[in-house]
Amino acid sequence: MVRNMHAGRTLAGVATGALILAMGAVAAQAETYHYLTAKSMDGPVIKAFIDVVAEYKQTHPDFDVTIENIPDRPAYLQKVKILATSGELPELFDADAEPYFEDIVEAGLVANIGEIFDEIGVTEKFIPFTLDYERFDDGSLWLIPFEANVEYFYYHKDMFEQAGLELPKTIDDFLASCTALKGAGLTPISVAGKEGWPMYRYLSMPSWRRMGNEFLDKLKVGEESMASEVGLEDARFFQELGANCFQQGFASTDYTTALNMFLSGQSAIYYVGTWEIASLLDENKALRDDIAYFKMPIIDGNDVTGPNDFYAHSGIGTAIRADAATDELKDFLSFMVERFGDISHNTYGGLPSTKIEMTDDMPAIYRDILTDMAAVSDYARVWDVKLDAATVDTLFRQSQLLGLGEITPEQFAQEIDRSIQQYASGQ
Amino acid sequence: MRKNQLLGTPSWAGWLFVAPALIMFTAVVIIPIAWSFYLSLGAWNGLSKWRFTGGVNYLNMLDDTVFRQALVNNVFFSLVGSLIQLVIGMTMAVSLISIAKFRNIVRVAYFLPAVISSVAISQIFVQLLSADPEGFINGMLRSMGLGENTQPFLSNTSLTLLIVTTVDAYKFCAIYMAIFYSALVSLDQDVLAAAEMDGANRLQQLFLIRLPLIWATIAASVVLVVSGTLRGFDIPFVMTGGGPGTSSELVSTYMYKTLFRQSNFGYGSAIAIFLVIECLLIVAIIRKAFSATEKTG
Repeated sequence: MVRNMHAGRTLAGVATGALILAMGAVAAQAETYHYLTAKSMDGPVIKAFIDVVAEYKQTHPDFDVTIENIPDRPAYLQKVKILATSGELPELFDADAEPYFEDIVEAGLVANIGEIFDEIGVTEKFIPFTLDYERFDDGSLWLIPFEANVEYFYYHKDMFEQAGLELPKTIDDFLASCTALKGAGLTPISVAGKEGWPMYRYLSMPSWRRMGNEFLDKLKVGEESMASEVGLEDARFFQELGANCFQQGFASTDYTTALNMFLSGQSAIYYVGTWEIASLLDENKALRDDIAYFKMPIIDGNDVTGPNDFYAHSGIGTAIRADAATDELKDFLSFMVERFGDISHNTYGGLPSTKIEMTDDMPAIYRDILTDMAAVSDYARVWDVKLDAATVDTLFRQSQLLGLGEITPEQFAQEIDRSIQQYASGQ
Repeated sequence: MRKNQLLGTPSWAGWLFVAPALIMFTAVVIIPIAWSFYLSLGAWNGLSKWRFTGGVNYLNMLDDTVFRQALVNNVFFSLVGSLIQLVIGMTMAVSLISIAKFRNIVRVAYFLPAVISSVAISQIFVQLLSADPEGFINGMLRSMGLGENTQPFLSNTSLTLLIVTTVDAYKFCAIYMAIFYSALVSLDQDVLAAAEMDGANRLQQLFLIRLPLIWATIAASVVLVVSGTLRGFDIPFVMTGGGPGTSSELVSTYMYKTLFRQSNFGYGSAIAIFLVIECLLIVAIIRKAFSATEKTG
């Protein structure tokens, strides 16, 4: 009997211990968030994010965020889609406000960031366009922006001098610059044609100047045709770039190779966003002596967008899984919005999505960029985010062929229209 | 109870031994194929509810110009790739049995491409074939005075399919070398000695004695190589991503894009089922052809 009682007590002790351990594990698990990101671990966003988490942990020792990074964007997107399909999305993950993410939102899998930001009172702390970029067409916001990017044409000053060139003000000037650079024995532009998005930026420039975002907004739902005069202007411009401006074999060049071509002086012009600014600066955080930049050229006086309106966005955003938007995480978000901008910019040289003060000791390039950001009245939407995935695949194939001169602008337009019609009829 | 007449064991004993492998095979092959077939009969983006659409996905394949081009490319990739792998593999195996010295060193050198990862081999060839910045092959052409032949090989839509087929074959021909080599060295030496005494020269020994004796190995290799090339994916995907345009798109790369980039699980599964049926049919035809040859030969 005594032996039985002893055994019973032991059993009860073990059970209680196990229960405490289990509760501890649940509690610890509840405060450890998993963040699946496509952002570079070496970039200012993730470095600053890690620092913010470390600072927050000083007052909240049980809180933690583990980061899993997949820098290859297609591989990342594939993983997110598989996780979403199998109901295993992490607490935090990166996404663009594209049609598939819209499906994730409709399935009720993520939290409404707009409502959370209003609830914790941080909306006003963001640069407005960084929030707007992540919004859906209905104005709802489901993604946290972390960076503020504007995109420029960077160029080698000595190469422009060698070719006797002034800065191109119009798209015609820009094409003429290519001819002059080519005539001087230089490769005018290096572009990563294996990536897709750099091609779409060039492709969309004429229609952005002619119609602003109206063209893309109507095109994606089949209310505008790529075979319209404006659409064909895009296609003709891109074909001319492929014939006279891009490096040989652009269709098989990846992002790093195209960037390195420019940095090592093998091409005169490179178009990229300010997320790549660190590669273009010297040790004093000034733009390298041989490099300068210009904004997207205009077409003529009939443009609906001005010289100060160009590509500005906040890159890939971050979503919170619906059940992970706890009071604790909201408290962390509130803390993060306070600290992130300062750490991102002052420690790592980033351009954060939250407003930062422009100071006299700030490097000139950053002051110029912030001035440009403030001057943007309308910014160009990104084609590969707004169009459906099947059309983006078609766009990728057809843009390569168009740039290589394998198809005509009319054939290009026909293929894009057909893909959009298929999507629109399926919807 | 029925018994195996030869061994005297109950008839279910055989099934008991087969069961582990059968269960595993069913779990990782049969069920996924059945599941893919189910998905192929509907529309599903992975999040919403699966919606039955009947054979629409299969009908859409007929109208899909990208799929048709991928299919044509795949036929080229399989035929040319299989031919290169079998012929070069056999040539390497025969050359190996013909040399006495340094055979092991040569064998390792031949086998090296097969153990390097596909991604690494693809990247090596992308760099070799690059035009701007100039890669090794264009540089060599220029230095040999063949500057007019330099070009962006991987952006030339009439060359990309041939290039990815050749690189894929380069990687895998060593596998067939190893298979043929082990078959050739295991041949009965008395038969070869008798042939030599009868005055058969090296070529006659090869074509009239050695190859007919390893005919079963060759038949199995043909099945392996054809089914392997029909499912070819990694090297074309890494080198060109199926492009430019659809110039090097294969059925498997297109299936991957449809499934994981477009999240069109219905149509992607229909393409997957097409691949399964295509492989089964072609393998059946090859086996039939070889068994007919064996009977007549």
